[in-house]
Amino acid sequence: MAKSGKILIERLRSEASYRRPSGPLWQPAVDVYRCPTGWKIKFDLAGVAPEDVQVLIAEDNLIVRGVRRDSVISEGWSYHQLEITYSRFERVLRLPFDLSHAEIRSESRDGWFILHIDCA
Amino acid sequence: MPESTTPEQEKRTDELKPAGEAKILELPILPLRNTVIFPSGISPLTVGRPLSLAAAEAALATEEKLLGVVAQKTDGDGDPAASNLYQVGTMVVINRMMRSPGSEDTLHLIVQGQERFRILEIIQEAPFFKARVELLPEPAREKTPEVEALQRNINALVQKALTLLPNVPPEIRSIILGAEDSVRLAYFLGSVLDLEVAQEQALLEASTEGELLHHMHTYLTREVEVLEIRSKIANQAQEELGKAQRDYILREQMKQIQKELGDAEPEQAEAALLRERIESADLPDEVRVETERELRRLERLPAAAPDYHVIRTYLEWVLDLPWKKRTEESLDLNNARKVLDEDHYDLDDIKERILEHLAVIKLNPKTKAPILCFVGPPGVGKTSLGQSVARSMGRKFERMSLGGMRDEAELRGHRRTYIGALPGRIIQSLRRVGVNNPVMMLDEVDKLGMDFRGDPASALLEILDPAQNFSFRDHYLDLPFDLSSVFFIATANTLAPIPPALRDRMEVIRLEGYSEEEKLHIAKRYLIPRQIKEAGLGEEQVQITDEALAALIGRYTREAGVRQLERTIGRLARKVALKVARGEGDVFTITPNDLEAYLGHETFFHEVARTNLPPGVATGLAVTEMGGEVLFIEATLLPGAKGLTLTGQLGEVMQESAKAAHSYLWSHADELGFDCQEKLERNGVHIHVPAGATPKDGPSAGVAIVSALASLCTGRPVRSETAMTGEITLSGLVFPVGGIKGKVLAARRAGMKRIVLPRRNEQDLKDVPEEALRGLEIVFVETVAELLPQTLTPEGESAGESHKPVAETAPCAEEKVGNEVRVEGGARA
Repeated sequence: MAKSGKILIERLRSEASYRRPSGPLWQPAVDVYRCPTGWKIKFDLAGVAPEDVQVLIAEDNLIVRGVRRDSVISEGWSYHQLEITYSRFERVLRLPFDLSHAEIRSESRDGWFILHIDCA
Repeated sequence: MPESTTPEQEKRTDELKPAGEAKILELPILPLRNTVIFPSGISPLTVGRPLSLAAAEAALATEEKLLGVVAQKTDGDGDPAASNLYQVGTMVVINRMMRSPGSEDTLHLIVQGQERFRILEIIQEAPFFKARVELLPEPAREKTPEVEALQRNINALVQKALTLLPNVPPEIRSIILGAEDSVRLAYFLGSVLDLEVAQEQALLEASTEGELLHHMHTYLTREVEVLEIRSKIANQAQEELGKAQRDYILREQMKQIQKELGDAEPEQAEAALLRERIESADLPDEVRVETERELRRLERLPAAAPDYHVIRTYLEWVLDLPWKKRTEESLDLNNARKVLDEDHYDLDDIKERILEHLAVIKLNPKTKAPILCFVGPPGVGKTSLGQSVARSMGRKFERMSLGGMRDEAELRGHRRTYIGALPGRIIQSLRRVGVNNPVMMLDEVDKLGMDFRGDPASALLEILDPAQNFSFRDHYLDLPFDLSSVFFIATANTLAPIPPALRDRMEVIRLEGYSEEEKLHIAKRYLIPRQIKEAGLGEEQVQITDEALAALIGRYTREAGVRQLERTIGRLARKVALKVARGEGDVFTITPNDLEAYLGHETFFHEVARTNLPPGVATGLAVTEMGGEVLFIEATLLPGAKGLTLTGQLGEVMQESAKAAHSYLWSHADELGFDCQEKLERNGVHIHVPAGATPKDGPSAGVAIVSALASLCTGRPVRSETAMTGEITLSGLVFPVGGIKGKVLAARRAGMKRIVLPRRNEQDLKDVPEEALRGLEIVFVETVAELLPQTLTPEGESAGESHKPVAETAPCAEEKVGNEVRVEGGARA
């Protein structure tokens, strides 16, 4: 089921405006497509609520970060095995064009998080 | 995001924010033993303690799987108290979790470090620690020169450490060397290095880059130092081990190779071979016991041991010696005589004495072998006589020159403790001949060295004593060897240098020089055939007439033996060979007239006895190592001088006998009827004995000196062609002297017609060959009073001569070799 909506997009003004963690965060895998209208960028972000994803842009850099929360676990359950990585993630992509004036739209579908970037 | 946000909006975004982005949060705390997890990198954790298990479970139950890990200040198996925790820890994400198969109570976690935090407050202690923590910022990056310097130093140290740790995998190497951020690098090194918890904690708590790097630098320096020392120790150990190990490995390989080739282990094979030889050898009991003991030692030693070869060589020596092996003698006296005659002309007396010894040995084989000493001038055949003795007895012959030997160890060997020790020459010779009863010739026994470096003559004392030498102990063998069957023959040119103790042990047989007659026979029988054969000629091709041979003997050689004669004949033979080779003829007969053409001028003037001797000159006789010699004594008065002047290299004994002669004449002038007392009182006397360069000594010139002085005093010349020898005493007696045969032969060579000898030397004439005495008048005297009438010309016979003694011609005892006057040893008058 596809779910589209406005997402939180911050235009990055300076590196210092967000807090860099000391340790490396996990990185979702990504596919980047070119299409007649522009670019489609698809992130493997199953189990991540769209509101937990933050997209930042600065010139040709696209930063997608957020947090994956375990929304399944319930009171009284315990783990037997854990392989999926939760908590914060961050993915920085360098794209071959300036994003400053691009129109960006996000979509969440079947566990993918897709960014539609239309270039004029 | 809008420029300004309302409080509600802020609150909302805060809620939306991941837990890790809040500044203050609550975390389950996992106490860590022995380690610190840094806010980077991935670490495995095994969780077993109830408190920790509960903390991990609690973390897993949260949405973000965040867990705080804090190191314990002290180790302990049980659950730690809250006060035992450090205040600064690391927030981690649990990336993987699995339970141990079979054990539900152990969790295996893989955690990823995220942020440092400080515990603000422990809000729960059971079932797990839960704390409210404040996330700490990353250590602030600084750009001061100090930090820069620390960074560089750390990089250098890391490089160094990596060279000392060759086993670091290349991935880690590239991570370390590729690290751009010094803080990350410091955290990584902190987790890699073997640091104590307090040190790691200090790294974790560092709030600035400078502080962090400072700690890291300290640790790294120490670490590199330790690594360096370790590698140094390892190198040393390696070096020490290296050689021994290498040798061992090579030796083992050699063994394997030999095994492959089918050889038995060499040392065993060698020992077995030696054992076999010992068993089959005929050894005396004492020797067998000793060799078996040594063999047992050998078997226990590895071939590489230094002693191994010492023992092996020793055993081989012992086994090689003829302990019981001897040549069976064929003691046929007639045959022996025949052999001696074949090899040597004349020497009847000596042959007789040798035969006597052989006869005794034949009758009593147990008798001790005699020890003979042949004394005589060079070239008279001492050595070849020894060979003949061996041949006549059918024994083996071994010759050993003692000339110049100066170390006792050469005869008796070195003790085995010395490296490269060997037995002495005696034992070596015995091994060479392989029997224990050879004829052993000790050549040149008079030329043994004797000084601070050793005294081999003393070692000879034991060897040459039949009462001791049945158990001769060589230093090297240290086993008694029976030398009593060895027939020792020593040779010497003179007896004088031989120590009395040694002389006493030997039976001295003198070989005086040969007469011209004898030389003629020797040349015809032995020398000419031998030299002609040497020159490659047939015997009939060279004929040397007796006259030519006599001329050779008399005018081209002067010696007691025949060596020079043989050489001269050899020269002659080669000249003939040259002619034959040139095709100038086939058969040559050599007459005295040819000699000059073949050999050049005569080498020696024929000694013409000086006729018409002036007063004050007398002819004496002396013995040298080369045989007898003629000697002139010249005396002259020195008007106005006092006393006696003696020149001509006279030894002390000769000087004393000159003084005795002078004193005797002075005191007995009246008795003798000479009118000379006044002359001797007023004038000094000078006595000179040519040749001045040859040292002379001995008492036997006494009669010649007294005759010369008497002739000087009376003005009556000494009778020409009269030679004399004898010792005089102050009371006017004439004592006997030695070397009569040599002296007589020399006088004859010199053409003397009369010889005056002491009466008590009469029996010595028996040694002189008859043909040498033919035509000689021998006069025996007992006192000086008897002597002088025999030596001085009767009064008035050749009176009127000047009192001045003249010696125009040099005495003939000079051999002309170019312009040089050969001086051979000293003369004993």
